[in-house]
Amino acid sequence: MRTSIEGAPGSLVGNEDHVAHRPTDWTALGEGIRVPWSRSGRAFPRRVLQPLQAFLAAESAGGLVLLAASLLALSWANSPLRGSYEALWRTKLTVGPSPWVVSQDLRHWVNDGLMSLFFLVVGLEIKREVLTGELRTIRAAALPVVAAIGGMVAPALLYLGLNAGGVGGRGWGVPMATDIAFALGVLTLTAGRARGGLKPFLLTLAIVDDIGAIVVIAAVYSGSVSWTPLLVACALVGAAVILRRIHVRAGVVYLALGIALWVAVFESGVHASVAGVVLGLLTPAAPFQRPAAVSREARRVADRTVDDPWPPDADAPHWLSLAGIAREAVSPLARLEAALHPWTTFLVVPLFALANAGVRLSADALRASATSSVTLGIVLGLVAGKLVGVLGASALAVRMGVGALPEGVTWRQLAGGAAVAGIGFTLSIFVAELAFPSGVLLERARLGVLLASVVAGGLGYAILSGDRSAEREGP
Amino acid sequence: MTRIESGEELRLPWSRSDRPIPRRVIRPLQSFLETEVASGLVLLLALAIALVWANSPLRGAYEDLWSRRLVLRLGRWGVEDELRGWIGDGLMTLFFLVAGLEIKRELLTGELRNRRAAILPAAAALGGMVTAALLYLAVNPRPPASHGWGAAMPTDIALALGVLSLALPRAPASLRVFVLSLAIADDLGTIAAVAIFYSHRLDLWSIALAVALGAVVFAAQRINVRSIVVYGALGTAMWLALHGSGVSPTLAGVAMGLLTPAVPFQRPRAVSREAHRIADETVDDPWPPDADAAQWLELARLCRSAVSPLARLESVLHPWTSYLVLPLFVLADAGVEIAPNALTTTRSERVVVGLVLARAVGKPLGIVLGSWLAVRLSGSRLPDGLGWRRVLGVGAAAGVPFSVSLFVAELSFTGPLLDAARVGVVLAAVVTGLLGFLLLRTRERASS
Repeated sequence: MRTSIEGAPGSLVGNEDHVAHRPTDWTALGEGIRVPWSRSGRAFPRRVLQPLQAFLAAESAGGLVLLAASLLALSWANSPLRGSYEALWRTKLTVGPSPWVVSQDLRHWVNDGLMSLFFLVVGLEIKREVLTGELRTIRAAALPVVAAIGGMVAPALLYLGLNAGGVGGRGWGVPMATDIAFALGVLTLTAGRARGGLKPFLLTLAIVDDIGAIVVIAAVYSGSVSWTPLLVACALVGAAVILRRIHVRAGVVYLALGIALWVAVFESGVHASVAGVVLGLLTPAAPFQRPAAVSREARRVADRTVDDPWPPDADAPHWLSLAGIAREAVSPLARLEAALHPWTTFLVVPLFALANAGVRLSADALRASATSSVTLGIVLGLVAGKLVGVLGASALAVRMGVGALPEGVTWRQLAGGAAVAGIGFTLSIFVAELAFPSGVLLERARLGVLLASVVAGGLGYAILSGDRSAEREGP
Repeated sequence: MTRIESGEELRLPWSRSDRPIPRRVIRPLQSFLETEVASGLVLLLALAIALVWANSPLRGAYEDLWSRRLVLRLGRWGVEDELRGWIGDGLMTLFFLVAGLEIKRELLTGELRNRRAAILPAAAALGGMVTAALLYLAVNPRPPASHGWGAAMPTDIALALGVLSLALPRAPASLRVFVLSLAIADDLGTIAAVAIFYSHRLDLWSIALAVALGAVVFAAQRINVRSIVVYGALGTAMWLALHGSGVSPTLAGVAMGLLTPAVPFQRPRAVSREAHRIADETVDDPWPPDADAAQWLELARLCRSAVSPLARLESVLHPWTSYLVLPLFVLADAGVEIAPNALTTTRSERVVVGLVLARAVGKPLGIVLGSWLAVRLSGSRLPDGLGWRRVLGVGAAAGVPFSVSLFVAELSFTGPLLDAARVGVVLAAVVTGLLGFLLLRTRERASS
């Protein structure tokens, strides 16, 4: 039961193609293997858990959970209970030994702390993509890379055109981002129509977009940089590289290094999410053990152990050592991704949306936003800028022979993909939080991102589902 | 099989490689840590550091460090304590979790499985505990000094085994097993005493909540819930429920340990079959590189479920509790200032005398008495290689009070009496350790 995986990389959230993410396929296991409660025929697992797991394993699940979290945040923040929304996210969580306590509100813990895990997964995905995915060859990567750059430059320019020199000038990074979970969700809603070549294109584009966003966050939206912690961070990275080189494999060591790196980066003034990305990029992509050697060891242990040892755990060292070795037949990158991906997709990112998407939609606010150059700049940038930038850069690249359209993808479909890439949602809000300290401008920006994401999604859906030219392609 | 010529051998991690540091430092260290004496010696080292530090010019830093407050607070609700308290209530929960696991293993598959064989160590442990506590109470009949009787009772497994293996490096296995089961029976008694006598102002709702959580853990196991996240969350919730209920929250550790299943979830045979299948179905050079990842991770999961959760948890936690938790606890708690003015009052003097007497005289005598009664009344036999003189030696070794005694002392006293109790524990440890060493060292008279 080999499963081939297409070259599709995953980005941000929502892509379940990568094989290690799949939950255990219990039906493929031999007789005598007991199933846990969640897979049993009992009423609750059968009626609730198993359907839920099947849903979560689907590609669009990440986007749908995120959508639910955003809608919940919106309706909560505009309901009579809105006081409790702000109160909850303003609640202080305090940790630490007495003079050095870290006391932040919950929103900051989510944005600076948990989101680092998300950026760690982004780093892992970028690395995998560069080593084994579309970005491996210049030829295949050219078009999405050029398109992504176009899709970043055009919105930023449009925004700056409206805001240069004004109070909102700092926000030019907001319309540059793409929220791949939502983009992919819209793509999935248009069914099999455009998925063949468009999906890998869009995913690669989103990864390049992420790289752009991270560079912008690190370079532009970091506070004033203090050099000592930054040097410490560099030394920690150097230590991690050396430890890897000499084959230190204990997870504890790298966990400690990672936490120290996070603290150092946080203290240096560079945004802490950068620590996550760097850690992701440092994670080895090759398994430590040759699969052939592990196979041999597996057979040896299987033959040496007995069914009814006495004392009962007499074979425990053999089994535990085989378990360790089997894990080492998988690259740390894939293991970390498999372990973290469900948490970031279904917990971290939805929590982020829940904490940050609760925008007040009062008539006053809407009226004020309609004339705000920040809101207008973001909407224009994400809706028109992305579309024009991605399409224009792609056309230029194809015209100049740098890249070619993916097989089976029409220009109309590419336009649909470009429109969908304008859903900036979580990542745009993330950048907005960095660009504008809380206050009126942040509210305007959030509203702009919200509006733009809805419009861009609708536009993309309209373009893609109105397309009758393409063949219906099976998955 | 794609390649035969390369990659057939498993690669070694850094710690097993031939580089100078692993070869000269790490591996000798590892093989030392695997010995019986190691954890006892590490404890002694921690004790020495704590004593020297607390009596050096740097003693201000000692108090300052361990009484620093560590906060975990969400809104109005949270846990805040001194660093010393976090170690005593928090990290020590892990130690008690391991103790719970060991007790369960011994009861189900070890020495205590055979109830008849268990009588001797149980009787010895009981005799040791009762005599020691009574002797202490005889010296300190009145409260508040009398509260410390619990500190006179417990045996420190690591130190008792450490003294034993220092004195008799080639001790017969039966002797080791006797000491181990004695110490475990002793643990059970101490845990019961802590739960019953050293809990104050009981908040019955919190305790009921903790019991209910224990029932949930039990039920979850019955219906085969296996996610470690679930049990981790339930255990933490139980700890939080007990924290501030008046009962020591470390009992959550014992409860979770006793609740951990001792049988593997999968039949080893079924896992063997899967191992063969996966070895056959995977290839050496898949493309993309992690195409077989799901299979390998599945194999790792299956292998782990061929081992009982009890054994897995024990193998994961044991090194941490022996070499980190206990030494940290000793480091944080044993730093008593041995100054003349610490023992100004007769009350403190009596606490010290009571502890030393209880440990050095009460414990060995009680253990001999308990064993003798067991032999006389129930027809148990002394294990091979164990004569009465050695039973006395074992009794003295079991008299070495330590981390658990300090732990109970923390629960019983505050202020100058606590300091006195700490001095007493440290003194008694020195006296009983030497006594045990010498008694075990002397040759058993050839007879019986």
